[in-house]
Amino acid sequence: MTQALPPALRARVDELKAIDDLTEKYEVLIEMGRELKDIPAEMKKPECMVHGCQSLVHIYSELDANGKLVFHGYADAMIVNGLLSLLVLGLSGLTPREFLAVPPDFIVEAGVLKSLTPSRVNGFYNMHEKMKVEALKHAARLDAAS
Amino acid sequence: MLDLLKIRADFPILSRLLNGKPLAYLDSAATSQKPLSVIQSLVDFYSHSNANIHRAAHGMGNEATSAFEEARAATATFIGANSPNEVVFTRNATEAINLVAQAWGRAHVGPGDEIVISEMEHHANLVPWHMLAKETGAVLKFIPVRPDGRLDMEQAAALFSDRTRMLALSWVSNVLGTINPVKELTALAKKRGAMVLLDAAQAAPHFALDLKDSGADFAAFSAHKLLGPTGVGVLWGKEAVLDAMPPWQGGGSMIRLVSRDAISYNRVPWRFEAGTPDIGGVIAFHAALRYLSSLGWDAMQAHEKVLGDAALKRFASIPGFKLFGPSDMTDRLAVFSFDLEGVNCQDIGALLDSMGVAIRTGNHCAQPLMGRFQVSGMARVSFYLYNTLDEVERAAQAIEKARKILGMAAKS
Repeated sequence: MTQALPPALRARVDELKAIDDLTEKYEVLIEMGRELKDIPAEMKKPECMVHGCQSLVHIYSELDANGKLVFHGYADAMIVNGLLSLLVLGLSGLTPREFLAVPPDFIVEAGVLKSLTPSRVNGFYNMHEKMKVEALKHAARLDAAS
Repeated sequence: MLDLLKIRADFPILSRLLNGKPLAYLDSAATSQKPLSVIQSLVDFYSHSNANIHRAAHGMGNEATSAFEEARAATATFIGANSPNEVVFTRNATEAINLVAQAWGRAHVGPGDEIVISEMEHHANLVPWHMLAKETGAVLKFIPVRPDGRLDMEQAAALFSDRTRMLALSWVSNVLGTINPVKELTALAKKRGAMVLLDAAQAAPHFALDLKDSGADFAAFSAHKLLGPTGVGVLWGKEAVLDAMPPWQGGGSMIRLVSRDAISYNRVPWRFEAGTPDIGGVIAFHAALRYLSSLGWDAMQAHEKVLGDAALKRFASIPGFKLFGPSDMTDRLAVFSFDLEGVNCQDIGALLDSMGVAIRTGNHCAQPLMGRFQVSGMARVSFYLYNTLDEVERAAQAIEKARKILGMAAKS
């Protein structure tokens, strides 16, 4: 089952969608990426690395006291970092199950990518896959605990 | 002089838009665009002449075989081979190099033998030799690249020994645009009795190879970089050398007689063409060679030099623009890899794409060279015969705009 985008993500997608020109979209995306804080050096480890990206991207996550996902991540290329900010800031605050129910095609709706095929250049697909693995890990842990 | 308006009209793709902007295609070092005559040749072949070659009992098979072998003869003439028998069609330059590394290499390279390549090789001319070295216990030696993007000829001379079996070298660097002194290096290899393979993937689109006078034994290139279709590569080898080589891939066409117990192999070049080749592609490649021949090397080279000179001058005016490779056009082609200070090349590529300017970014299948220059990637702008001075300016302005956007958004 899929669900509506969380409000934080909906707002970002709508903002990007309203811009026709791709260069301007990228400018806004780069600005969005500035909201991401760099992650601690000790978290830039192989387990957190996103493979299949031309740029260096790290993602990790934790569950807060309410069982909601909190993602952290950073990319060394600005546009990729902007894409990552949509994922990290737009999809934190959901339960793992809620996260898994959000299809990543909002990036196509936003007009940033034409398709969701894996691409080394933008890395979006692989970043989302990495987050899915994190969510599944947390979901399994929650299931085992309940 | 080239008639650019007419030429550009021959390439339908050049009039398309990219992200809503007129396309400036500056990625021909990755693959060239195709003129209508090449596209039409593919359509004609599949519309009227499609048949398998060398085996059909019908007239169409004869037509296809003739057209295929005519393409081989035209290729031989185009590259200055002694005979069509020196031209083997492969899938691409990579496959051609693998063919030599495995068929020739396994027969002639043993433990302790040495293969000389350079730090600027494309993975296509590195990985096959690495694999061979690993398999046979041979040693790979790398000719160093100087800071100016040229090979270090002093150190190169010291790399050759009586154990050198092969010099495998890119004629032109796909990253730096450097035209290497292949004749001098070939002479060094020959003094030691070594074989020489030239990776001509970036050279064949831009100048006459004159292979029979090159001193080399093998050369490899891909049709798609010189206006031809993808899926067709060329291995040139001296006939006597090819003839002495064992077969590589087995299958139809490459055999003479097959019984349960024994097989005799076809003569070259067919011995190395197992299975049905890309017949339509090879015939369309012939159309590409006709197109290039109709323009002539002199006019093409003069035009590419004008573009290269203009680009070098204009790009140098962009603050933070760092060029990798020779800074003048004397021994380079109009292929310019660069770095913008403090900026990830991927961002440059994406922003230029959004402005309709198609370039390449990344490691360019040359990771050891990236290591040599201590970068993880470079942005590359490459020009070909159909590009214009206006596109040089568009590239420069797009880079300036990208720099501004990325600078304004620079992380504190």
